[in-house]
Amino acid sequence: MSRPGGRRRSGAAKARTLAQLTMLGPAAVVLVAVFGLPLCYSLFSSFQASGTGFGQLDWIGLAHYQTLLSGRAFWRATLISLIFTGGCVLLTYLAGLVLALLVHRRLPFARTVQVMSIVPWAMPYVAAAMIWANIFDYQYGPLNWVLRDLGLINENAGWLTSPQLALVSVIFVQVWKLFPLAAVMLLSGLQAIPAEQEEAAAMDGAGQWHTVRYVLLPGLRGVSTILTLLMTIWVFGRSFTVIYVLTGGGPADATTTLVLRTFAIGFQQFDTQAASALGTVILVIAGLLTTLYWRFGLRRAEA
Amino acid sequence: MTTLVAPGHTASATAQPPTGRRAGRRRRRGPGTWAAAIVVLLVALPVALPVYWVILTAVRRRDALYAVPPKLLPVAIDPGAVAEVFRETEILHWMGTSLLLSTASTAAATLLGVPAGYALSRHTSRSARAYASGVLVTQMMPPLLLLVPIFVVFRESGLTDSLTGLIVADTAVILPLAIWMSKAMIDQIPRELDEAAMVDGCSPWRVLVSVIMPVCRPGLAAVAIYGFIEVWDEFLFAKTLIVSPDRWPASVGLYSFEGQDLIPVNLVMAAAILFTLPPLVLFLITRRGLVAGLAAGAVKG
Repeated sequence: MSRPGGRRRSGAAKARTLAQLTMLGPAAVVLVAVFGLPLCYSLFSSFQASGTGFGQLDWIGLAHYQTLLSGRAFWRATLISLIFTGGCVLLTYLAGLVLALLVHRRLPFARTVQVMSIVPWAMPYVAAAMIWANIFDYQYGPLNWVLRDLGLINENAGWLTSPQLALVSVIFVQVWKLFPLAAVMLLSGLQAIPAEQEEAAAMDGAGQWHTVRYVLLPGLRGVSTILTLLMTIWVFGRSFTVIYVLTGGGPADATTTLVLRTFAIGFQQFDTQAASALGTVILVIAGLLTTLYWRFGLRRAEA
Repeated sequence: MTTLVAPGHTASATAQPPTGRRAGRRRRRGPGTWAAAIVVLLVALPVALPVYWVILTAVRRRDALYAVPPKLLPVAIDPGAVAEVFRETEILHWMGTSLLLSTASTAAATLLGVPAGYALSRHTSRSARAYASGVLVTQMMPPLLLLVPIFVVFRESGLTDSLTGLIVADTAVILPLAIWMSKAMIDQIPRELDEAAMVDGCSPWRVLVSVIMPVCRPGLAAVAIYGFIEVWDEFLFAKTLIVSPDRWPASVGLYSFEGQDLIPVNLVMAAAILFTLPPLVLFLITRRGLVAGLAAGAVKG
């Protein structure tokens, strides 16, 4: 931008600056008030003794962090977060990719399935979790009985009550909610690949599989990076509702991720300070993931 | 995960209409195609069967609700029983509260976010870029981290259990996305348009209101719709900040049915269906009306 010169122009420049301030200011005030200040307060109270009231001081330094990092529960929750996030991202990506490829290659009924997938996408999380809780129900839920009729299992399985299965079940429901979005993003990525490349491959006699493997998948690399990183950030930090409604973190903490654990410490044990310390750890992890997204996702997208 | 689809991606919304670009092409229908048809079925079943089961349960006759094994076929149904959901549950009242929350927060976030998005789109100074980065960071932050301090502050200022407090929190949750999305939409409008209006003597606010906003109305509608759906879906803040049952939004109200036997399961499912309808309708409208103009920039980021 050229520098405005002369007195009259600088008056206009002043008006512009004022306009910028009035446009950016209110949003900035709100963001600082509801993101900046709470985070600072949270960081601050993570150094205070448990039960310290608002406006009081009782410094205990890093004690909460020491308790946290030396306890098994924290590492277990970290592991479960890792499995949950990794499982969700991988399966969401694969399911989305399969659906996107099917639609892109115009396979029979693929469009219909994609339109149907708007239902899980649009469904509120609580509604989806309540519905799946019913489907997974040990006795009244249809899943066990369908699988028994098909001869796949011999007796009812505790989809939400067995520690191993519960984690699988919550991952499944989270994937069920997220994969339509992955499919749409990947499909728009596929449509951005020049059609000539596919036509050339068809000309050379490439079948479905070869076209997918050597033309479409390489063309999706940029979108895939962004999508994977975004989903990792999202699933790690935000997937609360599915787990909370389906299992509440149980059985025996088998589905307690770091986010669930923070919630439990803060709002079930009412230890705001310890919860803040755990929150700070989560913030650091989320910050690292965001940095990755920044470095590799956005940069790649701009290139 | 609607919130997360940052700059431009959100725009891709739902499925795009077929372009017809490849419609006429001949396709080999080898064994690969048939294998793929089976895969289509594998994706279709987990999507279709729960929907079938929910609707079936909602219209199930009350005496057949808790059959063991459950009746998987459409037998023992009584569609009239669904109407009891309006008498026996508070679902309409809760959805009214959700509507209030979604409308108010979306209005606030749009009013704050669109001007900010416009300013960030048109200014690329170092401080503007730092601002934009700050917004991106807030959007990536797990909302739970804010919940603990917000809860403490609200408790001190008497904002817990108040819808006003929840509206503030919800606005905060969707504001970063509103700013980012507006910026991404306005980025696609050529600057020459504003410059021409500036030469004619329009102030930046005037340009925004009279030139930019009319041009990207579909995009701004998308901002509003996503904000609305996001708040409609919101559970964590509502569950924690609202205590009185008469102020519950539908997400918290529906959750109150979890694990209790007072409300029969057909009504729980009927309530879940009602709760799903508004966002579903909005999604379908978005798909028809908004996608075409927005999909273009979907992948570029």
